[in-house]
Amino acid sequence: MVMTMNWWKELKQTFTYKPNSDREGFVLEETPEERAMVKKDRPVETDQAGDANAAEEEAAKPQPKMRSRLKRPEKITGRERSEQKQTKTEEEKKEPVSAKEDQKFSQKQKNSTTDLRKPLKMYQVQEDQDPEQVSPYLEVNQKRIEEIYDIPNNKDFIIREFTIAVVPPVKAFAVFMEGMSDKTSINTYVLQPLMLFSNFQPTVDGYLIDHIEKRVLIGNQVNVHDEFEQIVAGVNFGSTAVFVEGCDQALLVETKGWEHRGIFYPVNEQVIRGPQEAFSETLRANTGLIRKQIRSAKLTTEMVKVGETTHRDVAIMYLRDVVNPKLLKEVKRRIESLQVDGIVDSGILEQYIEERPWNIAPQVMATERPDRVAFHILRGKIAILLDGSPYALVVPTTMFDQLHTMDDYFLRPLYGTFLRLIRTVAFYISFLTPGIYLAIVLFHKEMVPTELLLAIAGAREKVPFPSLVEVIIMEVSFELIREAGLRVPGAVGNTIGIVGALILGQAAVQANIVSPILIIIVAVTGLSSFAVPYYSLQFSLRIIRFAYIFLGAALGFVGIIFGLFVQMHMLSSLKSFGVPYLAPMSPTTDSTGDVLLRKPVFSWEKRPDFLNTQQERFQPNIARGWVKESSKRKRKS
Amino acid sequence: MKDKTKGVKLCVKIVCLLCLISTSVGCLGARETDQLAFVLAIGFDKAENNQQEVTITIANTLAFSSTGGSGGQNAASYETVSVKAPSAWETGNLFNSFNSRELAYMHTKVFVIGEETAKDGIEKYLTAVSRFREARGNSSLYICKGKAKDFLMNNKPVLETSPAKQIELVENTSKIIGYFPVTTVNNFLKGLKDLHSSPVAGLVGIHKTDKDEQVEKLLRETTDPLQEPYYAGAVPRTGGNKAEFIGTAVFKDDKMVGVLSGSETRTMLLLQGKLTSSMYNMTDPKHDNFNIAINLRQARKPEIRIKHEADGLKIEETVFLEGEFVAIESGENYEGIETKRQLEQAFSREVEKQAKELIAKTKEQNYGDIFQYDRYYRKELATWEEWKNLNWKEIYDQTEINIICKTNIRRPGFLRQTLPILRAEEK
Repeated sequence: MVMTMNWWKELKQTFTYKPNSDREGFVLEETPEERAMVKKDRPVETDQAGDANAAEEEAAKPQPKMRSRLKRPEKITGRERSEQKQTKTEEEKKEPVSAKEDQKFSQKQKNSTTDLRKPLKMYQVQEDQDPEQVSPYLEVNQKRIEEIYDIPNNKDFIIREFTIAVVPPVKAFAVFMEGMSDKTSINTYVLQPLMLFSNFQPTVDGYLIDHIEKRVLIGNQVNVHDEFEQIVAGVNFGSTAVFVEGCDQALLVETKGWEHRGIFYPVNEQVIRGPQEAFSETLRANTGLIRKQIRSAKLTTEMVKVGETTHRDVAIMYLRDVVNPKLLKEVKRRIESLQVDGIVDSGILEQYIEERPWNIAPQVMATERPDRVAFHILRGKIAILLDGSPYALVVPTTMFDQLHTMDDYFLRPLYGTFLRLIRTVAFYISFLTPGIYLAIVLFHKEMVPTELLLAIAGAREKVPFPSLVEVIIMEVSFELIREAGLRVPGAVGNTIGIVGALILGQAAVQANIVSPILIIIVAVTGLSSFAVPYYSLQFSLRIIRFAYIFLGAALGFVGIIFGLFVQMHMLSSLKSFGVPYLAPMSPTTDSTGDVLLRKPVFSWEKRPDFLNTQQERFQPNIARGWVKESSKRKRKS
Repeated sequence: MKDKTKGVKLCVKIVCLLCLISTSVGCLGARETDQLAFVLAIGFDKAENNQQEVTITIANTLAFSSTGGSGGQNAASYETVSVKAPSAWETGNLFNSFNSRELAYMHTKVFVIGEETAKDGIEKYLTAVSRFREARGNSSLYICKGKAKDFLMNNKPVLETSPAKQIELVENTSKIIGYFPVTTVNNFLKGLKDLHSSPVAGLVGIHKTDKDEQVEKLLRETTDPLQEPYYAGAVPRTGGNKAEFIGTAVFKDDKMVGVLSGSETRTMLLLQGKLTSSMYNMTDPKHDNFNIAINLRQARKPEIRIKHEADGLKIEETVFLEGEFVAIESGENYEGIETKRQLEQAFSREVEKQAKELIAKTKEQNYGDIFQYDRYYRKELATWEEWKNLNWKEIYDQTEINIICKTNIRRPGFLRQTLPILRAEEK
């Protein structure tokens, strides 16, 4: 039955005359979706269009958006329609329109607008209205907004009704979100101009919405939208939407402004030498910080929305003449493919885009330092910034990147090399020491000098536990101190470290629970793990340490070697965005050699080979021009 | 479904691996430090009735704990015990009849063998030591003048907490004075296997408090300051630790045949090329009642040439000494170029004389080649058979060995020139 009805309607449609500007020009084939849309629209049309003017009808009818785009590529569709709708509503309401406008429109539409209709009832309009589109009826829009935001239950969204001081006065209302928008901006750039300054030139020249946008609103970013989706997205992000009576479009005035942290010192990646600013929670400020470092038109920031509910912006930053296009494609593919409800922090984003979630090594590097991000972008990597997260993700990353700090680069090569060697030692100590201690004490007592062994044995003499238990007690309590120190409220936080160190260390030794030598070992291990600069890497080493403790206690050095073997394979088989995790050491690729030692700045001639960047060179062979000149002079003389 | 089987397979694999790990031999080899008694020194002696007496020094780890408490530092840091049994290896079991802990030999620093036992042959002990997994081949080996039990029981290091450290440090002094050789079990066994040269071992002993005739006699006879005729147990001294390290025990095969005194040991080390440094004292060539002290070190490895001449084989060895003045009692200006050369030559003659005496002694006492000259003779032979059947001792006894000493006193010390002090009488 329904089928035949539809069929009949379609047939009827073909015979009914309808001046449809949409269908002028070339005709494209309808897609099934469009056809469905058209079908949905039909009843409205037929009901209204029975006796009414065709042109008017066309204007009142909600437009299938995609189609209109396709059909009239050279026209600015929104504007065109708004003009028509505006006239229609004005005529319907029988409100006195300014003479000029009236004249213009009457000329244009004289023959079509011969008989005027009664204004539609509220419920009628509401029925006809496409809920996605802004209605010319202010009341409908308000109802719709209240429906979307669940006003008045939802107290965050505020509707402010007012009248625009033009002649004749037009009713309007503004919607904004409390908390995300700046109240002063709303007062000075939205309400004040609309209610007061609109009076300066009360006669509307052209279309009302145009007039308001061009001549009344003085905000720096004002957009016109006719879809609720866009408007709501804007309001959710702090903009103010202004709906005007009789306009089927709304104005979106940028009034973002929320309480946020300013740019502060880096807390977790401190350097002695170098810039002392860190990312904050504002995406735009963060991208700005990076741009401040790389003032190049080649630096591209692409924006991707992530999260069906949260709608968070993810910025992908790269140097487009350097970055490997395949890498870029892969990064974008991974981020764009995410189908998640919400991502709250870049830590979660990291877990969504890394390839081996069960491998213990971190495959994405997070940093809070803009200079570090800029440095890696210059080398051909890609930075991913999530709005609201003070950490930028840098991909791809290698283990050596994670073991470097910016201090290495900012200090002179010898100092940087020294720091790196210290950190290399710390890296090994942080996961091997307790295991090796157990292996020596349990299996390989002949390895240590006699006096040292006797000292170890003497210290352990009164300890009632096996050394494995002893080590585990200490390691666990150390982890407890660490975790508790992090979690306790600020005021108590400082004391936890002291309490932990003093009570646990001193008292445990005095109570003969652990031997003093073990305290040294645990302390050195803990110190070393703090010397590993990247927090996630620290974490992986902390966990691996326990594996080595058990291996050392069960099998001695054989176990340790066995563990190293497995760990090495795990690391070398790992890839971060296609880059081997241990590059450029394994596989050995051509690089500046800036891995374990730090070469002087003038030797950084090539970008890392494993990135396959478009530009291989970082700087010419002789980066210091003056050296060349002086050496030339020398040769001549 | 597939994933499930895969997961099960993975679990099975992991369980298998864990089982493998837990059944590995490693588990059974683990010993806590407080389960073990660390043996620092072992002494072998021959007892009456064909019994063996083994003495061991065990470290008392409690004394090494820094955490005060009860009886920590006050306890003796080591304990020496001895047991008699028909077999030296049987004693290991008997020790545990009164010792609460398993004995661990991995830190045994020194093996001391009594003189009597050494004269019977020590190979059986050493092969056992080198066979045993825990014992170290690089532990020192000393022959004790007297009984090893007495040595270990009476050895009470004054400056160190344990005999282990004492032995380490004492061996360091061998490099400074050269009065006793440092021999390890491995070295000794290697010397034994060399077929032809005689192995040597350091000599230790316990100082005798009562007056010894032999010591008295030595004291009376010694006039040349270059001579140091003492050996362990006979050093004229008062006070200090009773243990003495001086002299050499000479072996023929694995049997001890004789003893070298301190200065003879030094000469032996010099000819072997193993002397690091030593302080030499000699009578002033120009003033008989004054002495000269020179600190010398072996500048280069000795040059050894083996010549076949009409009247038989000849070995010519050149040793090089370099060093500085320590004392010139007479005030003679030996720093001058000419005088220094004279002194150097006089000193070299003295050293050569000593070396000749030592070589004569080895031939006379039938010690055999303690200088390992056979190593240089080896290249004269073509096959192992020849080498095996070589009667090196006979050749050695008949060979004329020439020692040439080249001394070079490089530095005068802080005094560049000695001028006579003007005395009242001379004015």
